[in-house]
Amino acid sequence: MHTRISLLLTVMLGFAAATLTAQPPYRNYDELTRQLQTLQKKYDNIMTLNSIGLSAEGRKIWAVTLSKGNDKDKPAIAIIANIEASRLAGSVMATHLISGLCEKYNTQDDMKKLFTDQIIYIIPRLNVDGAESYFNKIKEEKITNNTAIDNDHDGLLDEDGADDLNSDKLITMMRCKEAGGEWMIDPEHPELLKKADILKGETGIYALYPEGIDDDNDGLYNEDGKGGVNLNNNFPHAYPYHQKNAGVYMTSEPETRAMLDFFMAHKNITLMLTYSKYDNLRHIPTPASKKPKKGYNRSLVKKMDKDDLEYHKILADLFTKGLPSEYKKCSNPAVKPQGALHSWAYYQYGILGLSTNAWTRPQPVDSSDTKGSKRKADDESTWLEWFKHSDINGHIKWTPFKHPQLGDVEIGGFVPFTKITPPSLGSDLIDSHVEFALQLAKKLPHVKISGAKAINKSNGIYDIELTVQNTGFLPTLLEHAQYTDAVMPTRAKIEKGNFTLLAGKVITFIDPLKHSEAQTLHWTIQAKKTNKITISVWSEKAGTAQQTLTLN
Amino acid sequence: MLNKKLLITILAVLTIRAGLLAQAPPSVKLSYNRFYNYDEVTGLLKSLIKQYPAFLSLQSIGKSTQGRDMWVVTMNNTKTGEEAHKAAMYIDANIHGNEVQGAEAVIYTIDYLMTNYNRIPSVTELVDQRVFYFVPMANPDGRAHFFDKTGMCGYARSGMQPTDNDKDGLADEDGNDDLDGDGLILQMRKKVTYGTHKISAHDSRLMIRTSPGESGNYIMLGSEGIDNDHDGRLNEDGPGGYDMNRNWATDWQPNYLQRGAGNYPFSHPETRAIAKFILAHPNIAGVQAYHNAGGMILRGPGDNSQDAYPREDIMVYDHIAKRGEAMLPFYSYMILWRDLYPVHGGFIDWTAEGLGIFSFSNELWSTSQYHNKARDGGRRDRSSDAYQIKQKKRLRFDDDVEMGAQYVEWKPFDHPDYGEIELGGWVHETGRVPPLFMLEELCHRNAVFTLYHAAQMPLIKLETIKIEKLDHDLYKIWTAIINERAIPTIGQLAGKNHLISPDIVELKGGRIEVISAGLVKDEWNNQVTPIEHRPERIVLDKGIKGNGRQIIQWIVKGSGTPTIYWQSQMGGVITTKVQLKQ
Repeated sequence: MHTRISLLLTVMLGFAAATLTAQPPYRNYDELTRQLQTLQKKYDNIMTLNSIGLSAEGRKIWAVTLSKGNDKDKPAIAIIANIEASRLAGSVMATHLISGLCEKYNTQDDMKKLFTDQIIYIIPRLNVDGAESYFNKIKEEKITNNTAIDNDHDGLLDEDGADDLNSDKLITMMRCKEAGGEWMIDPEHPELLKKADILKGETGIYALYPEGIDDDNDGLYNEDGKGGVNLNNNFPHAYPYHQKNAGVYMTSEPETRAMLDFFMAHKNITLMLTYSKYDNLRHIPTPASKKPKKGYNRSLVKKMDKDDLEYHKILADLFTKGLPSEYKKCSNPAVKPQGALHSWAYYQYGILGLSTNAWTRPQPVDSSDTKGSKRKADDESTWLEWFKHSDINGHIKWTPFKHPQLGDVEIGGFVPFTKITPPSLGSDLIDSHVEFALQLAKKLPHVKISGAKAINKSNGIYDIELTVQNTGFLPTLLEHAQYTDAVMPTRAKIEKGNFTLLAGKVITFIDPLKHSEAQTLHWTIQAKKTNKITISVWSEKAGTAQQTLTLN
Repeated sequence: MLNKKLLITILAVLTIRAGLLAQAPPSVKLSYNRFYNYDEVTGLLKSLIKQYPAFLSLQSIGKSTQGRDMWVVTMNNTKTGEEAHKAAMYIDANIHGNEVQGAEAVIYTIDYLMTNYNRIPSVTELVDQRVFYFVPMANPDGRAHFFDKTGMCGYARSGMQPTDNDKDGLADEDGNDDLDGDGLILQMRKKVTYGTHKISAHDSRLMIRTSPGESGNYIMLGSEGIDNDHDGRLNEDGPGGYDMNRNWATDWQPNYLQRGAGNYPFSHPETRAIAKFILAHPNIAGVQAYHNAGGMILRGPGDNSQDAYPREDIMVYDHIAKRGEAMLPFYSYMILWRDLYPVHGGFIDWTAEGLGIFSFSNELWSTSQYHNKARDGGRRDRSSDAYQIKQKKRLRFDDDVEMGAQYVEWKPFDHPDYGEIELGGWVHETGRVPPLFMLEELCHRNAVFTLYHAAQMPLIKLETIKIEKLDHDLYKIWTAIINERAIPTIGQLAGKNHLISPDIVELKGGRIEVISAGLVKDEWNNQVTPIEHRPERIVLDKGIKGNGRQIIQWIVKGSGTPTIYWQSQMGGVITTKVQLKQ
């Protein structure tokens, strides 16, 4: 009997848990705001919530600061999510990071030191306007904000968007039999289409359009819907001029500028991570083959420095090692970043710019499926298998429809958002991300004064010796940051006092210091016994240190 | 017939002259043999708009870093049409705070157009057909600083956002100092035993670097000042320290590639305000940005990493600039990256390559103008006799024509760090700004060049050249869209990169239905390319070429008097009616 009850309980609890996770975790802007405010109240001993600017439609862009104490110069990590409108999984992961980190702070003793020495900034949703589209009655996947753009260059703005013709509240695709159509039914997967390979003598029979009518009668379907600019194409490194979704010019969007201004106002940010469509933690970038030429005329750097990449690889390794096994490989192919925030962070701001998909399709779906591993990462049939496996309605069967302009068509295909917004992220995955954020925080550089002395040389003449050391893991300046002057040099300053400087400078620049590296500075002064000498060390990325010596 | 025409012209001229005499003299009196500081320019802009309220309006488009208004004067004759419906010329100056005379040239242009409206027919035509936007001071703080008592020093080029140039954690803590209180920042030299410089044998006022094998008796200490922050370096962190003409969104590159670029495009309040204004006025079809100096008519690209301009665009640039070379003695037409130096994120790169506007930047004043003789080329070896003789000539101009005003004789001074030194040398900005008596000519010649540029902006005329009855209520209409000027409504580059909205020509109204439409490719051989979609609203994404013509064919069914609407971002908005006779 007892066994039966406990079994029943387990089943019930299991069921309850399943219902909870089945509840889609995605929140619209107002819900997200309330969630953040609730978290802030709950964890006000470590968390502050600020707006870093307004979106084009006037929404506040929220930034969370997790820090103990008031030191604003200490090294920081910034984590930015939901830059692309549809990537709401990132914002969910970001809010889990906030609660997960705060909870750890309240329950684990070693966290006190971590958040005293470091700051973690989290911007859970940068594209606050665009992300609202997920919550529209009719679901249409989009990555941009809502800035009106003349996508089809006809002098009209946003005049031909998609239409839910079959009233299933989803914008899917239309296929239409057309002479010269590029698409044919995939013989292996009849529910899917594939491009006809004309070299193999295959003949396409279908033309493919997004679901809708040609509102502006220009022969094109849904080519100029609402919006917009993909913020992750709008940053000023490798900006894709004149390309779709990139905006009229680099940094054209208020959200882009708010992000840049935040970084500029918080130069203590030493490391950053974005949750985006780019994944350079599982697709490791190729480094430059040689160092760029130094001198007055420097050249544009387009690839990572080899030495910097070593650090990147170590962090990437930490990440993948911690991930649940089904996520270790990225199911999405590598995408070349253009105007992306994380590339800007490395190439122009001078720190490591990490980026990962907050969620990817777990793989392999079935370990016995050997065929699956041979397929291309973005193979549509693998998605179908996963949808089936996970009981997700991810693909709509092609169904005939009488189109007012095209005549007989069939509507069907992939359901919007299902490839990027899973029903649940899973606690294993979330835990690994929280752990990774903590691991990153432990890798930041720190300048410390590891030795200081005043040697009495003769009557009132002192040699001051100060040793500055990087006790953190990352270097105080990356190679690329040195090449570009993107980061200020570390400096030591003898504060004003009752002494005369005989040799040495008031401000001395300190070389870039790698992990455990140290540099010793020397000054000669003339001063009276018992006078005090204070030396301050300031590093843009590795915090500050100060030491006062009493002469004797 | 001819005589009659002539008579009418003479009578018309006489009437205008008579009208002129009766007209009250202008109440705003401007002088072009002096410079106006920021506050004075503000005052005289306000008086100008008061005097010409029918044409001028004044608007502040934002505040500078230090809170000064960014002024834009709009010139539009509302009687001849809405502002947004005409092609506009945008003229600015002084984005480099020390490059002052451009502001005077802008003010001169406003003054000249207004004073000569209804006096000179081509001025009247320009004012009636075009819109002008004038920004005399793109960098208000820089200009204000330049005319400060302490401002005659290097960093007036920059805006006034405090910047840490020497990376010591402090901003703007060690600028120049007017040590002797004479209102000038001069050069400092010190007599020593083992020096690097000596006094020229050609003229005692010239300092020459010693050649190998000889020892000098002076060292040069740079411009006037002290080591305010005691870091061993002099004047290394003065006001500002960035370049607002490198802060624009085309080919913008970070500071390691482009000194002074700023944090990102439009990161300064001044550049942001101007960019917002220009984006809000898509009818701007011509841009001129005045700088100094060197005597140049510059166009992009700013860097050879950018594609060369397309052939048809170059032909238009060449046409305008070559007319300019004839108007501006000693000025040369140059391509920025090729003939001057590479510029990333420059203003006219953005307007030309980012917005598709035909844009020039003139470098006002050439030192050849001192003697009205082309300067001799060649490299500047400062220790050579040739260089010293050339400098001596400059001094002679100053001695004779300016009565010595531009040069201050070396005089002793007791410097807190260096002890006994001497202060003297050229007055700051000599060679970059013209002698005052030559300023008005500089303003006029640059103004007329820019007005020629403005006159070449697209000007569209619609002419229905044929209405053919095909059946009882079926008509074939041929309407010619004619661009009477050199600049196309959509340049080749702008068309390629979709920088500007396409031209739209619509036929509607009356009781008609548009059956089909086509572009007439060859009117003599009846070659017509059909328009596949929306025949009533034709999209011309290549625009109308300079001095070009495009005939549209419509087949319509119905009757009445439909209207043709022409709508072009840079080629104006006009309408005309078509009469369909039964």
